[in-house]
Amino acid sequence: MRLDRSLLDRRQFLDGVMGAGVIGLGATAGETVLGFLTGLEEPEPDHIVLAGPMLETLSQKQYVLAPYGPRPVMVFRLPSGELRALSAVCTHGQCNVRYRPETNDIYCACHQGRFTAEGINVPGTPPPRPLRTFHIRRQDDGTLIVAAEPFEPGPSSNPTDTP
Amino acid sequence: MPAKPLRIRIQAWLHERIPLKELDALLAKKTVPLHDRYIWYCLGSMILVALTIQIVTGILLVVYYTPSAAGNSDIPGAYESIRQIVTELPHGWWIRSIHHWSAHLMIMAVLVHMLSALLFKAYRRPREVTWLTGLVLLCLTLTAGFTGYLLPWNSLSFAATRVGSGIAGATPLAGPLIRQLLLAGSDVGPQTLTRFFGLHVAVLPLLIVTTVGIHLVLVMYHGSSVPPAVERDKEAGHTLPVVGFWPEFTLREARGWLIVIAALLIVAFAFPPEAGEKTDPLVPTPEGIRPEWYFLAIFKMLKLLPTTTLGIENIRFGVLVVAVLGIVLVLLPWLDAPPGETAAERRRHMWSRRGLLLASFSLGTAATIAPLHLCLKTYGLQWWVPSSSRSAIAATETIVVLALVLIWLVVVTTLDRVAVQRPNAPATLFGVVLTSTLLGYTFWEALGAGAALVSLAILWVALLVIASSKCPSAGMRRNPARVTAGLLLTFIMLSTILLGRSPEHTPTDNLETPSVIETSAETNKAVPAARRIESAGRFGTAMAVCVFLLVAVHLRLGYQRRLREMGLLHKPA
Repeated sequence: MRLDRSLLDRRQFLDGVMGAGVIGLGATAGETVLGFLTGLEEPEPDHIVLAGPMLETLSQKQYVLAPYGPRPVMVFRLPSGELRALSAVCTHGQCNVRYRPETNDIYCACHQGRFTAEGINVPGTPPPRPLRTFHIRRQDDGTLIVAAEPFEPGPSSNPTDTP
Repeated sequence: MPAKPLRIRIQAWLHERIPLKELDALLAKKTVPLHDRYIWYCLGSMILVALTIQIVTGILLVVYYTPSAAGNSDIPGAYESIRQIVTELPHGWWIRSIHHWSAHLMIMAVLVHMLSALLFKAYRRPREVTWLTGLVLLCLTLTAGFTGYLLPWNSLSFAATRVGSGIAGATPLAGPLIRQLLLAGSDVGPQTLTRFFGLHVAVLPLLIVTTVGIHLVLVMYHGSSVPPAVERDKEAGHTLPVVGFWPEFTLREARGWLIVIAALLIVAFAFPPEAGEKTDPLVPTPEGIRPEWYFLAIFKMLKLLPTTTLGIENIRFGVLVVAVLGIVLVLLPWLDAPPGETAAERRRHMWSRRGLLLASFSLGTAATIAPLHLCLKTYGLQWWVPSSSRSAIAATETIVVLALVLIWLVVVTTLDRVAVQRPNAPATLFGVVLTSTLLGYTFWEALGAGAALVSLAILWVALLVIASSKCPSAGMRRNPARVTAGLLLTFIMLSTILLGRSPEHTPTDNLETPSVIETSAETNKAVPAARRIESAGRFGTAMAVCVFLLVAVHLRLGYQRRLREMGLLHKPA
């Protein structure tokens, strides 16, 4: 069907164009501002090396928290002498956890969450998921390498600290 | 021709340039209804007082505060600058303490103001937009509290921000983006401090002041809302007494302000917050950590929620509960809007929009039942169910919950019918439930389940007494029962503020702080006695001035009241 005249007059058309332009401008500005505001993401390293004061703390307290990119990782020593590395951030409220040698479990003070020494969340406590596991290797000079990915199979990939 | 006196000339100069006459006329015409629920309506101006104090003390603090996470004994960062304010600068500790306590006062006043709007249905037509701006202000105030909490950059503020941003990050869909925007990275760090500082000192004050302006313009435009019972009296033909906005109403309010300012100064002087331990992201969260009281209810809920509910992880489920409550609050003016042109017509529809109201009703009941139910679970059920049989416990719990629902129905319907005299129980229920939940969880977290039950009992009895005493058709009458109930209510409300405080001294001895990052030397974090003594004279003077002003205002008010009673005042049009 052909209409005798357009349903849209020129002024309406131009108003629409102006409106669309303003919206487009706003969207572009908004997107730019949002990108600016989200900030920078600190990349997670492949591995970190624990040495010096960190190792001293570990031997004193049986655990130590070390920065692994943006979030800390916890290295702790089991009663058997075995060393383990888990994420130090609770899966419930994102608080820092700590290893308790006396009960051989991991505890979060924020909401009284608990994990086993394997990092498995204890049922009946708030954390919904296990802690992320990291891998440890002891180097010849005594320093520890903590990595997110497993090491190549080797004799010292599961280090123990037997005196 | 003799020159006109200077005063007259200045007045003339001003009148030519500023519409002072019009403002005067407006002020003279403006009246405020006077009724026996007056005290509930004072909270609004109290919030303004607290906001003013916040702005003034905030400007003072920002003179010395350094918004930087890096810092050592040579170049102060955020933590060091706070410690300097608290321990070195003259009166700095007191100013910071006033800022701290006035923030609590403001949030408490906002919450009670909202409760009164809920109970007296101040959101009803045509004040829906006023209600919405109020909700925006609630969010802004809480955000200001949250961002301000990080600024001292101590261990408590760090953990609180971690948890808070974690909760925000669990919001469905937009969570990760919100978290990223809040923290400016994947974890709380120096960049977060900068961001929160900007929000706290520039963005939020601007937004709050603007929204308060809109809120006030709307309040002025519509006039003060009155409780539905008073409104009904007015429709029945009683004349509602009013007082002039200036000076009688203003003086009445000023009396309250002076009392609150004096109380604030005393509390700030007696309980100054300390600087705490400097943030160390590599230290386990300190024992006994707790958010401020206004987030305590959510905190407790997150602690109690099972790992998954209906297949949703606990934090996310908590966010959903809060979101649903928020949505109900936003929609309340429309959920609680029975059809009918006149207020009298609308009052006749008790269950006007059953479906929607029932939704808020059941939601509210669930929200109250949850803490009570959990209270009983941890506290009482062992006696009633000696066997540890799961089905027996489940059956008992079900009976207890049903009984509680029944009690609730009775309490709320009574409250609603007797007091508000505009029966629309679900909306009232929702308001009472929300308060109960906040209060119950707070007391439970701070003092245990028994204290939670006692506080809830006090709350309900007090509300019932306040509400069920007959609303006189005119004027103010003091009812001893209601005054007592009001005092009790004030007491439990204020005690939540003190209960919610995190321990100042985190037990560091059993924390075994690994000193991986060198923290600043173990100097004093508390307020030195010398600083307190230095400020004591000012404190005494301030108290004396408050008392002096209070007496003056009281006398002036009495004079004004007598003039009004004698009919000597110019009757407002």
